[in-house]
Amino acid sequence: MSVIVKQSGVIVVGGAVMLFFIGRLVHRRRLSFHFASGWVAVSLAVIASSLLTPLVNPIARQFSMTGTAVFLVVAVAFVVAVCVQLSVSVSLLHERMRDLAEANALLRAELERRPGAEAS
Amino acid sequence: MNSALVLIPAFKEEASVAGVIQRVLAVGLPCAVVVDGSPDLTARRAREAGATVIELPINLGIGGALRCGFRYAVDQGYRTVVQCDADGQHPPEDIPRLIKEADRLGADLLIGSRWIEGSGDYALHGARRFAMKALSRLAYSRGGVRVHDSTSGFRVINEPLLSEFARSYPAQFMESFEVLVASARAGYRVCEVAAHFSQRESGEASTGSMSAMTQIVRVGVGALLGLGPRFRPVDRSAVDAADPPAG
Repeated sequence: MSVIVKQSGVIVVGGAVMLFFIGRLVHRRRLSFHFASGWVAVSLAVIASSLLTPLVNPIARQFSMTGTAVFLVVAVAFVVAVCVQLSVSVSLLHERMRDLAEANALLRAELERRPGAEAS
Repeated sequence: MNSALVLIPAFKEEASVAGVIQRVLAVGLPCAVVVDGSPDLTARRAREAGATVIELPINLGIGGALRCGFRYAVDQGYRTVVQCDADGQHPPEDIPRLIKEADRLGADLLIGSRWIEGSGDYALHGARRFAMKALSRLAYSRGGVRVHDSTSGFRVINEPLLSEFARSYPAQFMESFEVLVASARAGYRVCEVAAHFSQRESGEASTGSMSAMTQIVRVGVGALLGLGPRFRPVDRSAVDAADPPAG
């Protein structure tokens, strides 16, 4: 069995395992479909990328790199992009939570100011 | 239209908040306390003392509590807010003088300073004092504003800066430095006068020394890189025409 076939097999297995765990997380309602759909797409892309394995080594040689190094660079870039995107999402959620908490507090203060309201 | 509101952010200040409120009410000013998700009896003590209490359901940090208070002040039609600590470090008896000084100087943001002539003997030592001096220099280099006490929480905020604070006051600790620079850069008039601070009456600082130093480094780097908050530029001539300085 050639090295390229082995590499393709490892990539396919990796993508399939990822797909399986995404499915389990959705099934247990630990991951919303909104995010799961993106990760399913990534898993399928990983599996599809196994077809590109024969093309990786020639491209890697153009940059004086090995095929493994090219995969690593792509993987790290992807992980960094995901982390940045998550940070953006968390920042947005934090701002929304802050708005909600403030609105809650201001409404409560307004209710307490009304005649006949009892302070809790 | 209302004039001035004293705004007190409070977290775990059940022992001292009532005394501070009573001193504020004694100088004839309305008082609102933003209780920042405090698990103790701070909110109850504040209500019993006669303040309007705005009780956040979760702890947002000092910036979150203050923005909520600024929103309340703007909603209620106040044109001036005086920010004052709940731990007794800031003397409420000094508030009328600070409001008059802000009016005289035409200040949008007036800082009650611990470290200029006439401010008494409030002491800060070691790395924290060094950091505060570094921040003051940074405030000058980034915002063009000369202040000695860039992190003071004893401040007078006037319209139109008050509405800007209500809209986009930053959330994280050390926000007082960030808004100082942002205000100056946006064209608001920032002034500083001496104020007599005391040591806190009870409780403990919400942020430890290590955390405080981390935040100081964060805002310092943020200011150097221009990553701090930004306010909308103010039309200075329109503000002065509508509300000219008294002196």
